[in-house]
Amino acid sequence: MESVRILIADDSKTDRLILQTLLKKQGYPVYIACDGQEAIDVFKKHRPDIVLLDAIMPTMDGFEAAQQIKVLSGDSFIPIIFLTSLSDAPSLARCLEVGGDDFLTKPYNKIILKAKIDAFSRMQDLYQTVQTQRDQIQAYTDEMIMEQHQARKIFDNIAHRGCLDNNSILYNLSPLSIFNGDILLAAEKPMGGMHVFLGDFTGHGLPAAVGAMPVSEIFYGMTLKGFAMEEVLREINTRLCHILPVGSFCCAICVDIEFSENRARVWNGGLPSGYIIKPGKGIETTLPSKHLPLGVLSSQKFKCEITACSFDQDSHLLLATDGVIESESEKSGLFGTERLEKLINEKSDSVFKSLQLELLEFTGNEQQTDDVSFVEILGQTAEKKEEVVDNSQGVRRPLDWVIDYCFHVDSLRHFDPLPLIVQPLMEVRALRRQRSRVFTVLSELYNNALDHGILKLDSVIKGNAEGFAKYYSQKTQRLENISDGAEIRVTIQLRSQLDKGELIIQIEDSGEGFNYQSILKEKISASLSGRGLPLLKALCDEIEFKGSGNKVKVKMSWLE
Amino acid sequence: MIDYDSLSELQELMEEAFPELVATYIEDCHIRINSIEKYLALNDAASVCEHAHSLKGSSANLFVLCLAGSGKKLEDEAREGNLENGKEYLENIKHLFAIVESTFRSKGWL
Repeated sequence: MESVRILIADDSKTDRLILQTLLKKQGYPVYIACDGQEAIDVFKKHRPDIVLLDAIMPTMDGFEAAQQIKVLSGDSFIPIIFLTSLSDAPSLARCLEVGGDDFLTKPYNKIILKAKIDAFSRMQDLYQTVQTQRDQIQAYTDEMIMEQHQARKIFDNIAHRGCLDNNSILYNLSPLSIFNGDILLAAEKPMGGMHVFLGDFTGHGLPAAVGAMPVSEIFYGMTLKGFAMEEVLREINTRLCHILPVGSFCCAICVDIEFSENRARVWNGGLPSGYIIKPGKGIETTLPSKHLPLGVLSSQKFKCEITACSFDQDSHLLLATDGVIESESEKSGLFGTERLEKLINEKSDSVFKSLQLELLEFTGNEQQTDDVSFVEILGQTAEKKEEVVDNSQGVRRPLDWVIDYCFHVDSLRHFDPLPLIVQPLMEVRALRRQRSRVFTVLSELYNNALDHGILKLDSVIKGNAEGFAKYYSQKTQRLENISDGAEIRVTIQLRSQLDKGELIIQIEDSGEGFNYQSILKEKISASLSGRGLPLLKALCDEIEFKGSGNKVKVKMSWLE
Repeated sequence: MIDYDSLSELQELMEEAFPELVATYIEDCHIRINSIEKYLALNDAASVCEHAHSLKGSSANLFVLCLAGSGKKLEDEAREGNLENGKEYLENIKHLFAIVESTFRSKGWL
């Protein structure tokens, strides 16, 4: 270790000589000053490690010099030891007030002198170590925050924001929330409606963020491809089971909003209850957790049971992680469910703003409020077409292919083939931009073939809510009893060139067909036709029934 | 009048630097005594106090207790602005200093 360098400031020559001799004999390099001003000058020039300072000196006394030296020391710890024969307490106290660290009284004793200098030297080393570690911690923290911001950017690039920017969605979420374990996702479904997902991973930091990636990818990817919420959740659960360590999981609430049917379907596994709110009235439906969190049950054991409830255009949906009810105030303890529900009932017109304000008031801490995640979705304006953020270019070269699918009895009963059929079409750039149109056409055609062609259901009964239920119970029953030879054949033909393209879809069912001539002639309205003809006509360039009416062929074409 | 035990300890401590210390002390005393005389004549109590303080300090360093004592009395009174007994103290200090200087010389330290 380098020797401690010592500055002696004393106006008395004999004092200086004695101290200097003692210190030099003990091996310390020594700088000399004859008064306070000189002490400061020498200090600036040599930055000694310890300062021995006489209290009473001409020009500038030791008290003032001590103050200035402490300021000049800045972040470093430079011990100041007052040399004194003063025995009155007020003067000694003043030495400490101005920043002195100790006294040395005359006559000097070489053992005490050495002991003090060694003690201060050790203290200085310790202080230096603490400073260095503090700086390192600061540097690590800065680096971590920077990395988190970068990781967040990458995360945002991978997982687009879905329809979170839709102005019917209000949310409170820390920009670095994925590192707190919170994740909020919302995406519009290709056939209208919306999936919303609010999740809370156990743990913090990188492990939580890493888990958020596949969740987001699966959620957006599968929703975009038209998979049902059950399938999305099942896939997320399976993936999390594989990647999360034992004891880690993701509490989540997922809601599938069907605006056109005034209905919301909810799955809540481990998050606090969500709420469906009627402005002016208060809580209409509470959506409590009924399941284990995602990533706990193996895919065999995971049962995705959904609760359906009504959600019309006046309804609001509020979802929150436990950060809200677990917000803490020094005075009042935890925020709590009771306080939350009271607020919703009293401020049902402006739940989101009121909750933000009340949390801020409650915790008195802006930082804490920032880290709390909650989202409100308004039924009224929620359905807006999401701009599909699509960074990939898709295939943009001539294509010419035909794919044939044939679905037999078991598939007809248990399998929704639409996402499968749509997937290869989404490789085509032009179709990707018309995802919703393609999806709607395919869905109409397939459901016509199944419901009317094979199951012979009569859509007229769907006219009211009661009939709707009857329709679906009939459908379930008839699906069980389909005869063995039943099948639906889907043929997709794609021809695309650089500047134009066409898509031909033909669907043939094994049913008896129907009298399409009369329907086409009679111009029956959409609600009665049961086969969505006007809709198909609007979406396709050509539509043609064949055979006994069990075969229908549509054509969509486009110019790039 | 002089604490020889402590002084010889200091001598051991200082080793070869001891003569320089004694010489410095004697020289410093000359300067301080002359200054005290000058500022007494000017009736400048603050300056008298300052120099008496220094004289006291260096005398204490070399365990010359008599000079340290007289210096302290003069310093204390001068701090109060009282120079009434200044001349008397100065004479006493000069007298003691003459003895100390000749003693040190006789010991071969000068």
